[in-house]
Amino acid sequence: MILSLTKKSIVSKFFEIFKGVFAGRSIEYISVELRELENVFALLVLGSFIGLPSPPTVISLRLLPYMGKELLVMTRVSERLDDMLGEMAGLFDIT
Amino acid sequence: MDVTAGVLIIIGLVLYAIFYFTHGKYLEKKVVKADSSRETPAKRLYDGVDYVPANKYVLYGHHFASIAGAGPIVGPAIALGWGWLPSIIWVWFGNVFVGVVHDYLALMASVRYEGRTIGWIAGRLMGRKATYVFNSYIWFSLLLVVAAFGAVVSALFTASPGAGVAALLLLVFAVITGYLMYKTPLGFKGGTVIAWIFIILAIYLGVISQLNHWFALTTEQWLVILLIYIIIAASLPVWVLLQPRDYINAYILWASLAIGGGALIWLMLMGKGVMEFPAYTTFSANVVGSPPQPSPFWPTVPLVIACGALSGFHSLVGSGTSSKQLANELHGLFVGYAGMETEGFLSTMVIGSLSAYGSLALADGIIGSWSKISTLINDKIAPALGLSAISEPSRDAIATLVSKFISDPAVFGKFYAGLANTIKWSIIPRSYAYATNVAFGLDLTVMTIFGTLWITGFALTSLDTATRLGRYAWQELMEPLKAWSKGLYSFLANKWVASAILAIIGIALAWGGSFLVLWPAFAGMNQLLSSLALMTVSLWVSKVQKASTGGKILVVAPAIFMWITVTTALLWYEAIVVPAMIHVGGAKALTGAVVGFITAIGVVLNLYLFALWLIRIRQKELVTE
Repeated sequence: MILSLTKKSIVSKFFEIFKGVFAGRSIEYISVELRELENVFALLVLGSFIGLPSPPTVISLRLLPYMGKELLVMTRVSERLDDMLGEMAGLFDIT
Repeated sequence: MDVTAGVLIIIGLVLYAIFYFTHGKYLEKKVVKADSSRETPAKRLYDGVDYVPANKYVLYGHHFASIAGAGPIVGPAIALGWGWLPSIIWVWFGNVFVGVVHDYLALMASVRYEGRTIGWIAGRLMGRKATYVFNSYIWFSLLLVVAAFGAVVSALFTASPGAGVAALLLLVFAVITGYLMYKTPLGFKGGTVIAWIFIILAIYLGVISQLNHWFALTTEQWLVILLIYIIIAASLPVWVLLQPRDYINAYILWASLAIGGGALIWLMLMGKGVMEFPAYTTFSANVVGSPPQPSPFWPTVPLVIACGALSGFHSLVGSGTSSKQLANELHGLFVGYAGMETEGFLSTMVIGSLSAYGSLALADGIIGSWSKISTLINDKIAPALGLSAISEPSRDAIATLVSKFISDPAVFGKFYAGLANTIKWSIIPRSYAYATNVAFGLDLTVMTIFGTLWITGFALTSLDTATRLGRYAWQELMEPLKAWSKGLYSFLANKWVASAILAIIGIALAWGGSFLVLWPAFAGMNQLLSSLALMTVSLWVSKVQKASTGGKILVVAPAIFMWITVTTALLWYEAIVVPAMIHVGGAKALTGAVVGFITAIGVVLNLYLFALWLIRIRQKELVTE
């Protein structure tokens, strides 16, 4: 009983890992593209703070509480802008 | 004594296990001082996008699929000119003394620097100029990747047109899979089932086309197709082709590893798979160059075997991507160290199957390319073996020739690389097919196409990702033009034009068929990158980690060894290979001049880097920037 349970858990664990590896492989690049799109979205919504004309600051301020994640991602990416060529070369695994 | 390929695999596995639990654990405890209580960037900087903690095994699988490419397969196949023993010794030695140190420490240094890339860390530890050197290596690598991988893919497709058809079909199928996965409710599971069906269908149609001699194109025609393909692929959004194709390739990679590794072990149990290729030929076999020049094993071997023993590109994956997903510092050894060992295992498998079944594959290749190879055989190889000229390539006559060829180490060392190059490296997938055929009775044509698809799948990805990166870089370079001439900027920064520039230059270099010149140049640039990464981690270990003397030796010694080896090898390349190419004239001379120029810049930068490193390593307290 215990043995069969252990076997079952090993098999299910294996498939969980298997799925994890391949699922990760299936979205690797598009998740980075999503990040970039979120950056663009954040810039559009909060653009008035950096001089982009639209939308008006008051609307940006009202949206601000909902933009926590976008702000976080944008800040992190901006900190790594001097490292982007290497990061992209790693992402695209050129060989 | 007869050695079987399976024995080689078992020795490799045992060696890797021993080193993992001794050398690896020592590095983990005494050098990296990994601590499970120290939060990794994946947790500390969690953002749900870049910084996401991953399961240890999932990250290992993902990391390995990212670092594995055509490199650990093609390099060892060329190196057999020196014999399988020096080749496997370099793979194992390079792997357990240099490669694992490089990969594991690049990953862990990045973890300690918030997931930054090794180039950025180099700038921090050696000065900003080191980052510029790092970026230059990447830029030059992109061009050489297109040239070297364009050459190898076109050669393999010429030898096995069915695989070319299957690969082209998979591109179309990948687009359909991507659409079904990302744009319809079918999602991941449904898309995966469709992807498997597509893989089988592509191979089936490839076999049909090969048997009917459809698409029997020349190398140049394949190069034109590749040129069009990479320009289009590099300009498309990633979800359309790159992402689903990469996903499909991952299945092909793991399946080919499982089938190939299983076949060699099964053959060993049956007492088959004896390594027939010579164990050792000569110290200066004719391996590098066009025509291949006598190449001293040391220092030139890293210009041939790069990725299976040590690859600078791994530091990019480890430091830029995997380090942001490491959930626990103690997982790093499994991901970085064992990941590199798995790559070495892949090369071990290639050396084993080629040495055991390469003679059958050589015979097939010679018969298939007789019109192109008869002069080399009849004018040089047959007389050197004491055989008379062959007028008709009957199977018996070629079998006798190959049998004598593999029994004569001196002749083998002199002509193997040139011969394998002329038969378009068909020896690689064909020997894989023979191993699986003898072990499991799998069809030779199907497995040849599958084997070719496996190698070229990686290489095609390399081609279009290198072009894509080159496009980004080119578009950035063109920025200053905007103020000067908007029209010219719009033209040159156009995504199609930007992709075409790198692709055309790369494919033009591949046009002359100088693969044995392009591959070493590409591998050399890769090794320069690894040399930079090793210097960076050795500084980190010595000055930041303040490791024990033993720990420092384990890192600084490989760094110095690799720097000396790569620098000497590239100087040899400049002195021997480049002038020989230029002497030939025509397209080869142009290729020789271009790669000679690029590698010369690489050498100069490497000397400069060493000076930077020397200054920093002698400082009592490191002054970081």
